[in-house]
Amino acid sequence: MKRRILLIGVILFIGLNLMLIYIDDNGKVNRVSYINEWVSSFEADMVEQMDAIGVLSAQTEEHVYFDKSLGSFEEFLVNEGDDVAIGDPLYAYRVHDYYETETKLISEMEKVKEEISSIELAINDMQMYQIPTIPADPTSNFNITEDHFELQVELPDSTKEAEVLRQQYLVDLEKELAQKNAEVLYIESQLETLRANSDMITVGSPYEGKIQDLSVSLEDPVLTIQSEELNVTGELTEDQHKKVKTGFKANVTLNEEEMHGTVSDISHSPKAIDVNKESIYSFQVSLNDEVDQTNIYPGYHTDVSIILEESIGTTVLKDSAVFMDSIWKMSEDGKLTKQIVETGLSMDNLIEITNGIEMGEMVAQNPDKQFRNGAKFITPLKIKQLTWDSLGLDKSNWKKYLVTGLISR
Amino acid sequence: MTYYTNPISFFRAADDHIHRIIKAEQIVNLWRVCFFLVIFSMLIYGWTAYLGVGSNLISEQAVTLSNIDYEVSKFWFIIGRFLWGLIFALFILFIPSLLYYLLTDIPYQKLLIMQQIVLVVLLVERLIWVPMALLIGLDWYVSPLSFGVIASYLTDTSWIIYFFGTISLFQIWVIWFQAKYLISLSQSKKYVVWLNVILLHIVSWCLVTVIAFADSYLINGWFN
Repeated sequence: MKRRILLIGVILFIGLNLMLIYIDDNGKVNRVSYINEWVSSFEADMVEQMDAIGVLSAQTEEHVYFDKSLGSFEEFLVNEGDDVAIGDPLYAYRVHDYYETETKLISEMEKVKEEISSIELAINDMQMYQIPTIPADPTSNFNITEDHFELQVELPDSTKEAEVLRQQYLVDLEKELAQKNAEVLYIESQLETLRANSDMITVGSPYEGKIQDLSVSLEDPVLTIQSEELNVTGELTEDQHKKVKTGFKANVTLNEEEMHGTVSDISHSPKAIDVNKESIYSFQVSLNDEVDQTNIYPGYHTDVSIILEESIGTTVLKDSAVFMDSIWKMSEDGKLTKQIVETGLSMDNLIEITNGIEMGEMVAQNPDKQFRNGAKFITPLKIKQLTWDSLGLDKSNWKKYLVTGLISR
Repeated sequence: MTYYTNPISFFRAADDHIHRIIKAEQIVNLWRVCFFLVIFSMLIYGWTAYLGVGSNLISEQAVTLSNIDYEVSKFWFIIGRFLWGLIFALFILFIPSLLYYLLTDIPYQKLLIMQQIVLVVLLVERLIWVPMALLIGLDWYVSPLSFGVIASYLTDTSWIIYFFGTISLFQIWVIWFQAKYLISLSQSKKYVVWLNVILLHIVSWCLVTVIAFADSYLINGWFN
């Protein structure tokens, strides 16, 4: 009888304790958290990529036309597949009227030469122009007007901005100058052929590249010249189109070789608009200058992976250490605290942490059943981390740890 | 008659064993059992430390030490626990028996048998602390088998919680067992025995409380 009462008393006692522990929301009872696995946050480069497929194609395709009123077509001087440089003879035709053509060519050349001198003057003016150091009134503009040229200048707000703008204008002007100079040469060569052959004009190629198409029937365009430079063309679905912008970096993979490029163009309207059909948009990736373009030809299919977003050198944790949007941080006084974090990109099984943790802080990993906020934590020994060297008696505070082992209960 | 020391069978038929002990003139196997109990104690303390139980003070260094150094600190902690297992077993076996020997007229060897049983029970208590810490997250002083939980609700003062946390069901059983054993074997008056046993335990509880309260101060004081 006494035994039974005793047994019931003991069970009640234990039950009471367990209940008190269970209903303890205010942390009256000190707890302990057992952490089996833990890691530190580290630095990594994270990217969010979108995969697409593309095909290599020539970057530009230029067309050459023949104006039948100029003369009668004599012959082609190139074949399909030939490489041509600027000025290489493409075709020859007999002029209907020698003197008329000669005069036309000469006047064209004069015109272009005048344009050239205008540009040169403008360049000169621009280089001589003193940018005022005091910020000028932004509304005051001025015009440079020459015979065939007009340039409107808007004064910018600051000296630095002005300098940048000036350089930019100069670059643009010099580009135009080069183009006009090339045009002069082209007309000159035509004149030469005309005068040499008295009625035949050889037309030189205005573009550099490879002859893609030659129309034997003289249908316009009579010649199509493709540039040597290749880029990648591909298609995007509507969803993909929303996420990609020009300027995004892209990695193009062909036969396991990776090439780097940038998204240079995205079409604004799809190939066909139909409510019942999917909208497909085309995009282009231009390859970076350092990419080796030997042995790759138009028509080769490639895998394209467009980088939508990237964070370089950011704080990162394994995804087994992030629970919803909080982490369990192991703090310096031996306690485990729950910390809310803001996350960024995720890649493989890593998650970027944008806010809430510094580099190198320790957090506890799965499983999290024993994690309690504010509780002291205990960890088992990880033998694999020990080295024979580190156990040397001069290597650590071993006496302190030994005594801790002695006086703990 | 000869009594063969065997703690395991003692638990199955305690009264019978006590009768035989009273009548015994010769006790066999005593030192072998002591030896094995000491080894067991060391193993148990080493294993629980390997799991990390009781290593809160070490955890405070977890973040500041490198990964290797943290593990090294735990290694030495485990060595310390091994040593404590040795000291603990030797103490529990030989010191209270000495005290009771001085207090009563019971032969020392027979008191050793009593303490062997006590040591077994205390080691079981420590084994139970393992799932308590690992699965429920409770340290020894808030074990549901002790008065520490209730004390936690009634106060925030740490040493009071430690003191009442030391008083566990196992401790109470040990008091009862020792009293019963001593009364059976000696001619002393019952209330004297009870008084002595309870007083002894209260003193040991106080000691444990003091060390538990001051542990981090002691270590920092000695080593920093």
